[in-house]
Amino acid sequence: MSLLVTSQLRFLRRSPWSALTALIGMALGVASVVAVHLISAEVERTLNAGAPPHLAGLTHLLTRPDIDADDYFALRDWWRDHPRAPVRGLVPLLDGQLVVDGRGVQLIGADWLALPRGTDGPGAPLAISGEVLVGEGLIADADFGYRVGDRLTVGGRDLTVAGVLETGLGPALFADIGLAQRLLDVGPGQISLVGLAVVDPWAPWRRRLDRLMPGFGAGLPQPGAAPLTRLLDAGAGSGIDAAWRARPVTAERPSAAFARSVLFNLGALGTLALLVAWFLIYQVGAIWLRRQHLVLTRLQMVGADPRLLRRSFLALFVGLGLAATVLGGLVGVLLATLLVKLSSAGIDASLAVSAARALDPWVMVKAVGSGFGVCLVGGYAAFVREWRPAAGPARWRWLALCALALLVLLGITLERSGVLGGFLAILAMSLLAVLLVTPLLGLLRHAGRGRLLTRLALREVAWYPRVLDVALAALTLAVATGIGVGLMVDSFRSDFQRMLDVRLAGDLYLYGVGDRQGALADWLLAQPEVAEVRRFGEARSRLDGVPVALGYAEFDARESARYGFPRHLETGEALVNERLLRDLDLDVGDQVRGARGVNIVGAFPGFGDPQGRVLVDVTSLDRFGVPARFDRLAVNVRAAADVAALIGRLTERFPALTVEARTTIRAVALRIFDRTFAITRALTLLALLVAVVGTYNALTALRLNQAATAELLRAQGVTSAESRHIALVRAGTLGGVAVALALPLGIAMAWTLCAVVNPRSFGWSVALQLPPAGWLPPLLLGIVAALLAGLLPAPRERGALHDAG
Amino acid sequence: MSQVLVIDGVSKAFVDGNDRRSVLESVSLSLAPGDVVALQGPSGSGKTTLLNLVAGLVSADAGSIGLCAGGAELALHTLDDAARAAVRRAHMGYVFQFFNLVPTLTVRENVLLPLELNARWDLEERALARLDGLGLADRHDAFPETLSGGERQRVAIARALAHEPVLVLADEPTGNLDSRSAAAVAELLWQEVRRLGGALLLATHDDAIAARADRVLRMGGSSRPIG
Repeated sequence: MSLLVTSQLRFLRRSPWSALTALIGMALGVASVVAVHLISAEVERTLNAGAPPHLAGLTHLLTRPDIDADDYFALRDWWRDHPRAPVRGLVPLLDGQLVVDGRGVQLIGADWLALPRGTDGPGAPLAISGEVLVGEGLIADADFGYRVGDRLTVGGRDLTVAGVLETGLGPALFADIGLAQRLLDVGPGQISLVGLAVVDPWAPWRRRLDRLMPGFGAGLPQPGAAPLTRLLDAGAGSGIDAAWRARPVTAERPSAAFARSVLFNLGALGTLALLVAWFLIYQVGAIWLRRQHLVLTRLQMVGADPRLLRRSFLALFVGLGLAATVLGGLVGVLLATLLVKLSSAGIDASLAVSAARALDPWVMVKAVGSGFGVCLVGGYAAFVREWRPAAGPARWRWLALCALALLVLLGITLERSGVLGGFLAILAMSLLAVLLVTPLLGLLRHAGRGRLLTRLALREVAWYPRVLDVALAALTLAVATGIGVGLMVDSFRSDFQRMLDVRLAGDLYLYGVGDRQGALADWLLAQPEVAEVRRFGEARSRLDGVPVALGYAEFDARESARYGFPRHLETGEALVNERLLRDLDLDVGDQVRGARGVNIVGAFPGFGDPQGRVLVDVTSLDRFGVPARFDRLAVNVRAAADVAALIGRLTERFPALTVEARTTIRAVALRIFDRTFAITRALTLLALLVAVVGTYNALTALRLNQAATAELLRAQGVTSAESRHIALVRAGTLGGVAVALALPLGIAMAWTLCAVVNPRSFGWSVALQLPPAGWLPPLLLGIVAALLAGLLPAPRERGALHDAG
Repeated sequence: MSQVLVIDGVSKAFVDGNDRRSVLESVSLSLAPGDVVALQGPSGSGKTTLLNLVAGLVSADAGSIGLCAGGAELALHTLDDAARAAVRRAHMGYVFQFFNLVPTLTVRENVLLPLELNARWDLEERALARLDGLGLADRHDAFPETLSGGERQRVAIARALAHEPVLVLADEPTGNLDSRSAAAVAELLWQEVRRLGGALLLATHDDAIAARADRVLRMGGSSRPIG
């Protein structure tokens, strides 16, 4: 065996503690990369599984006033006459509302055979069941509660359920368009929309990016409506009516768009975890190399070829990286399983990390890339950096600072840069903070106050930036991410709570009311505990081609006041949420397009509602062509009423009724909210843990490098307590610098998430709040983590030392 | 005890795996105020170990070490780590061959370190005057990395004497200096220790330096003092 390799192996044997912390650090880095990928992939899988079948493969929905089948055929003729038009498919769609078993149900009809071929979405099984669909069969949404083969009667027709799908649409039935026309009792020429599949040049990139970083594809440009509108306008002279309006298909499923945006957030957080992990792996290499500096320098002095030295160091480091990859991969799978269980506990969700998914080649690529690739590249970079003379304040640093500042500005101000622009701004501000680490440390270089031992400790932090800067950057990023995500989630939660307080006006809610609502309301009003009964209903409708939730009730002044409107709603007046104003480009005072004579008299905050929402008095319903079906009652009880006794009598009298107390609904909603974001918080903690290992490694390296100084101080009579004081000041300073950078960075991240990313991805803004509970815990955690890293015993190893003194 | 330091029958061995290597065996020695004793011998003969035993940086396996300081007689071999550190910081000065100065403290701060540790700010003026006397008046605010080897050793001497200890230990204080600088540094050390009425125990390979000492203890391969 070569003496160089022998020397490396002996170094490994003689430095077991360094090797172990390096291995743990790298394994944790790989574990966080693997865990984030698996969790995101699992969430994405459940999202794709729940896609509505009639939208599979479609990119846009087209609509125009008074649309009918002739418009669809004109469009199809135009497409056939223009074979070079970037269109892959056209499909007529019809949707409407039905009442089945006393429940409001959405019925969607499509020409399933016209759906674009070659799509691997959930629509594929339906294309196979085409022969069933043209008959009296139906595909029912799983939420509807039917099973395959069940019979149901709709409008006097006896129908068979041909399939059950998870669509995320709630109670819905899917049928062939001809059957749907008959069930909705409309003419054979009636359609609602035309589904369109256009060639999307970004699609392959989105797919690839999604496989590499699940959920990240949502950040790439989506096929917008503008180019298509231009295309339709161009076709206006050749038989196409210019009144067509195009809308991306994502607008049809706001809740899915919301979930994808959450996934994108998770993906972005995963990128930060990846960044922190890579920082750590690089830092482990740099520190390890630093410990060998003297040995390698001596070997070089006796004539060893520097390239051979580099290779032998890299071989050992990469070997350690491979061991860390295996260990980190296993830990990552366990961690992902644990986090997925934690976040889906008690929720009706089928999330699970399977072994097959854990062995997904993309996970392997990322794990090996992090463990092996970063070791190779990072080790090489560390080697080059170690033998390069220390540079002073370089011009490139200022250039980079300016470029990053510009990127932050552009990402925030350019609305067209979308979600990706927002996250690029966050990434740029993170790197900006990283670049500020060394100059900030430089401020301590001549610390001139306090006890000499304190000054000494402060200056040690500033004098050896090469040992500490990467760890400090990782700790800063981890704490800032914790603050940023924490504040965003807290602000979001606060909005969510306000939404619950507005929406949940009754003490009790009664669901499954159906046809009995009149009798039920009478019975309730006769009970001594009941002060008031209010009726509510909701239907899905379409305004100007955009799906909306249409809420209705008896809108007296009290009901209106819940939405900040000062008086009762007249017939023909509507309140809308900010999402709908944005979707339809409307303002208060405008008339609602797609409804007969309905004016917007007020708007209310979205509070995190991804869906466009219109609220009207029940007397306005006919203007939307929707039948009135009150599906829930809100009951307000008198003060000191025995609510339990009331519920007891109620369920005895109406056993099929679902009764829920406001407090229960509120608590369940908040629990689900908290669990949804439990993964986010857990990943933030994981990033912090990785950073703590990095800080410990860095401080240990500093202690080992300063061993000669420590011996000197000991000879001067410095006691163990005073040595601990030095270690504490060193670690505390490191933590202090990290949090000093992390606090403004974290707040800037939170603001960008709330005010830039949220409006661009979800359509509503979140009012940023800065409660100490949001920013203080990550801050304290950062300082405590640094102090702990400083107080943990340093290994006593026979490593190579060198000193400036 | 009229002696500053009394070493009686001290032994020390180091264990490396299964090997036990005896470095010092029954070493005895005493130093009176003003004494300068040089330890000479080949590498590995135990010179540094003896200095570290006296300083209390390591513990002896057998024998006793007594120090008379501040009107009290201190049995160093009976004290724990913390007490030995307290004796060291109050009554001893130590000069090494390498890594003598704290790199992140200025010349002035290095010299004032023992005063801060002992809360003896009454000696500050004298300590700084001594530093000036050693030819470093214009280097107070310099960091060690900017000093020459000779300058670093002079600062180390100034620091070792700053708190006016009764005993100064020096391990090859001129080992990395040329002969002219070595002679100058040794002269300074002698003068300052004698001026303070202390004792000096130094390990050196340099015969010329050893020749200036009151006594020379030659330590052989067997680690027994033969001088």
